[in-house]
Amino acid sequence: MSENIFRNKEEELQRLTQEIADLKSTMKDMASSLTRIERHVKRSFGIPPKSQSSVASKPRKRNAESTKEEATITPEDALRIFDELSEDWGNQKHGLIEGRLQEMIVPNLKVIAHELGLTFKGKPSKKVLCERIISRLNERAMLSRNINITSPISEVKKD
Amino acid sequence: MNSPKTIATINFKGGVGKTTVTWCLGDVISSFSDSKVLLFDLDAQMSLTQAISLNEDGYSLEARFQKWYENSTERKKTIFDALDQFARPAQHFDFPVGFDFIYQLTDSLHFVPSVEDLYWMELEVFDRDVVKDFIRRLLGKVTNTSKLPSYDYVLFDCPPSFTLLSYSVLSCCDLILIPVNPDYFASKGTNLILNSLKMRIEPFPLPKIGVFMNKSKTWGGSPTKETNFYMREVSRVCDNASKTENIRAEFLDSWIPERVGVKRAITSGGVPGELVDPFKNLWKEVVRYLA
Repeated sequence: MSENIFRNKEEELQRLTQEIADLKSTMKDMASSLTRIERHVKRSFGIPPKSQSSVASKPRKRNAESTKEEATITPEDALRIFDELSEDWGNQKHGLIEGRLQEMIVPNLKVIAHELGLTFKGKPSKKVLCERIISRLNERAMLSRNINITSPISEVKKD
Repeated sequence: MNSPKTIATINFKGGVGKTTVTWCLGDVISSFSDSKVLLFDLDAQMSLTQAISLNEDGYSLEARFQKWYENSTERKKTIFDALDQFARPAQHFDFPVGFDFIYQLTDSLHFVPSVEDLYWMELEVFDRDVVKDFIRRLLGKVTNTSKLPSYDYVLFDCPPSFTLLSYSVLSCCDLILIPVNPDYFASKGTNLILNSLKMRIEPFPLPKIGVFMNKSKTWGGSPTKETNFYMREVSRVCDNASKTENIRAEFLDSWIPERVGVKRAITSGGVPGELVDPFKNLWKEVVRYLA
């Protein structure tokens, strides 16, 4: 007795294609979950992000050059750089900071962003990384800024 | 008789957890030490008062407190009546305080509830210099009344907006405790208070200021990177203010993790088990700082 449950070759092909697509989707989900778990585990054990997941660090042919780059700064360096940038930001040297960030390689920007607690939905571009780091610089500046348009209580009393 | 140490929980940003922190600290101190604690709800929104007036089920009213509260309002023995008496021009502050003014939650944890009338207080009382000494004088009465126990600590749950009552509390407390959250707006509240304390309030002597991270997001039992970012930033704000404003503002090492439903702890009668140690740590640090 034939085990073929399909009416014709086209139907069989269609069904197999569908099953392959389903399997690919499941594997993609699993890979993404594993990457997320691996990232969290590494973060909680303080392993710097330069040691990306084995899957991610495998050189890809089409983009081999960019993925070969690894971060050259430590988390401590990242915070020190942020402090330096913050001083210049306070001195209104905005162009200088934007230039300095643009000169940095993406993995280093990622380390800074990570240390500042910035999170991204997908893989952030260099532009997005720079913008978000600058947003943290703005936050720091605004957290210490006060604009008092009325007089202190002591002066009010004198009047 | 020793004066109690007075601590005001305040942040001009709402929702940072002032009420829960005040209550949890009061509960931990009174449960795990011999200290007697008096809590004040000075917020017209009455969050603490309402939480205490509800039963654990969340919808039926706590009968003992309800009866006491009705009696207190009928006899004009609320915090608003005390202020009303105090603010009357050229009159002696004749407001005897006893257990008709103070509710006994437990043997060592007592409570002065809020009233809705505090909403309209600002319309009725204009002279801030008159109100400035209100809490100091009221505490003097509490301390000198033999019918009342000798309180070791008095904790004030202040409103998020700046009211005459907050002005009065900040003018005389020993410690201003500022809970912040890991976000920009809650952190900004710290800077507002630090900036305005000497400029707008002129307390004497200047209270110490302790800032700590509340509702800390955690991963693997430690604060997340984002929480750490705000911890560092608020700590910087405190350091800068200490240098430029000549005040003593310290960012405390203790932090309280975020926990969904912690507000229910008030009605359910106890600080959740996993928050007891964080609050004990905060308490130890506060005691060290106050010393």
